Amino acid sequence: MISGTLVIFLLFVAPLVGVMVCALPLNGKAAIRTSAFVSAFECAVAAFLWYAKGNTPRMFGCGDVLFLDTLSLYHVSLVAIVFLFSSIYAVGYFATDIRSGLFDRASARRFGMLWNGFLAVLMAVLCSNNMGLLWISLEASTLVSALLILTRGKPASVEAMWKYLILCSVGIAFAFVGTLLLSVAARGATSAATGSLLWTTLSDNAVSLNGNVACAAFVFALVGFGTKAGLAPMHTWLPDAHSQAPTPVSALFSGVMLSCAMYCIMRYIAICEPAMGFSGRPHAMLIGFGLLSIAAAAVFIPSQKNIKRFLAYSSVEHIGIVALGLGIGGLGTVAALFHTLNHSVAKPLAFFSAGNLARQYDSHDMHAISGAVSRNRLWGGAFLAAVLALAGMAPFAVFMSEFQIVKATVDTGRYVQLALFLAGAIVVFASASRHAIAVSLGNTPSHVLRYIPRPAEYAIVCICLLAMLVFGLWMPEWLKTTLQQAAIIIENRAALPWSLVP
Amino acid sequence: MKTPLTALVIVLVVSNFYILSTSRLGALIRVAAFQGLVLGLLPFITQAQHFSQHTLILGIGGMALKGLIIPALLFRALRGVEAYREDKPLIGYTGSIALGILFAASSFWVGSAIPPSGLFPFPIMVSLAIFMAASGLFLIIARSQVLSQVVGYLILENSIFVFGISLSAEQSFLVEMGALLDLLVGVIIMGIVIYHINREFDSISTEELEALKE
Repeated sequence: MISGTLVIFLLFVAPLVGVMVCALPLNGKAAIRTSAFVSAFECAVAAFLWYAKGNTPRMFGCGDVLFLDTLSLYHVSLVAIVFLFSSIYAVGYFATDIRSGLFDRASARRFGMLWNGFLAVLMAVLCSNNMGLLWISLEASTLVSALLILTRGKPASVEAMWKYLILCSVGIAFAFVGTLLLSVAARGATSAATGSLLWTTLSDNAVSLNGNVACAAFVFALVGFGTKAGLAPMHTWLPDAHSQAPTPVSALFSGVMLSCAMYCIMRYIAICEPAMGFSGRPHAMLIGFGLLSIAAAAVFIPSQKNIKRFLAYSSVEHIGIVALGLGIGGLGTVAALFHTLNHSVAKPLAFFSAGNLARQYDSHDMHAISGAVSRNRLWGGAFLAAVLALAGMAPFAVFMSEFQIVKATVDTGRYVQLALFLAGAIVVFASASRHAIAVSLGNTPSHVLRYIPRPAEYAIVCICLLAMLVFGLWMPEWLKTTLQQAAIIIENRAALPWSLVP
Repeated sequence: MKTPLTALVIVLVVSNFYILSTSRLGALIRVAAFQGLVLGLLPFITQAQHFSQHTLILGIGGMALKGLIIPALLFRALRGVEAYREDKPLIGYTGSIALGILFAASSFWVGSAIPPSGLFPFPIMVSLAIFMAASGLFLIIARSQVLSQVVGYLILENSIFVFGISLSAEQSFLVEMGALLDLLVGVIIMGIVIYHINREFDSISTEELEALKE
């Protein structure tokens, strides 16, 4: 029997081997393909970990420095799947550039190294039991991914990279203060938790932590990790970075990097809420940031012209919805986790389609892209479906998770918050649908040639859309159980006052 | 222990005021290096009673990194660009010093309200940390040269180091080394961006970076 420890280790060793392989004198195509192989392997490792974990609540590795529970394994699986789709898409995306010499061998190898390095640090974020290592890994992900934005080396991407680097580094510095305060909050706790920065120890002894210091720790962590997650008003780097990065990288940013930052906040909720005697203050802060993010998206989405900036602002909205769900708690937490999955599937698909259409029409301006469905049935159709799904149209899964959040808000009697959420969501729905319809339908410019997709592209579109439809109409039992178990980890209380049944 | 600690705090406060008042980029880097060296001494004073090998390695490692290696990298970046001064700061130097006085007064007022306790054994360090964090953030916001902003980021990192000492928060060796490594890699990458900004815009002023404004 292969030990779980060894397999947890494989989660970062495999991408690190990928980095080394890309450092060898490969040709450009092989470097990009390496990333796809590594991601496929990671998916297999994640699948095996689900099997190996079985009903054990926690699996440890390297003593107790690394660990996996349902919450982290859920996120590990999302990261592995989104990386796999993005790497497969990247193979086709860069193939033209490699053929035309725009993307030389050295650039492709550098890209492959950074891509695999990014995967390794995100896995490290998700497997860290030590809150210090969690912070270090997330900061490292900023550094690695900043260089990915620069792949094209255009002036605008330099500007986007600078903003991303400085804003996220400063933001993450605040999260480090949160980590320091957390270790101080544990000082007066039971002997087991004293001086410990291990999440498992801190969450098990959370009620004995110093509540006031834990509250301060949560504020710093929320602002710090919230900057990286793209919560308003710290989101200003996000539209620039998403719009200037190459499309496969934008898909990763939106699909998994933001979720990984939210994951760090989830870990803090599990410690700080019990430490503060379930006062609800961390939840209230999350609701505030969540509603502000939804409002920011509702203000900026209607006036967007650039197709990728539009999708970036949509990510601000969805991260806001996740924060809102977490803030409501109970069923809201389950819905927030479900929404994370839905966003991680639909947003990369929207970015892939946008990237493909922007190339075909040679413009990112949505006014210049019209009639996409008639010139590019696959990606034009995928863009329309993905954006409508993201806007919250039934029967796609995003509608279901948003509906659950609405239900949780009503159940807890938060009618003002509900009104604000619905107002924002309606504005976003109307403007996003308008953008999607204008791009997909309408007259086609005559100079645009018809696009012939590869079989792999059909597979990506079909799998993502099918998942969105199936999860929207029917939630499998295993998914429901996983979401409930992960929500219980975040809530971290013996008796749940709410029903977690979606 | 109080006297050397107070002396180091005064030195750091004065150096911070110098950072707020100078327009020369070279001087900014030198003062940040000086602060790095002084900060390396702090653990030796605050942890004098339970001094360990761990403290020694981190103290010396921190001094080497913040006092020598990072400044050397920044000077290298500075040599590659034709910029020696902050020409158009968003807030002038008199205004910067006035704000610095305000930052210092309010942070030491906050610090004086904290009674020395098990949680905060060195309240004066909390004041210093808040003052340095405010100065670092101010530099990032109010200066237009990219290099000044990098120095602002370093001051902010230094302030967190001071805050960690004020709490005598014991991080594991691995975490502290990891944090230092992240800082080093961060500065190297910022150096790479400075090179690219200079190449694309023929200047390292953030005033050029406005193509993506909403």
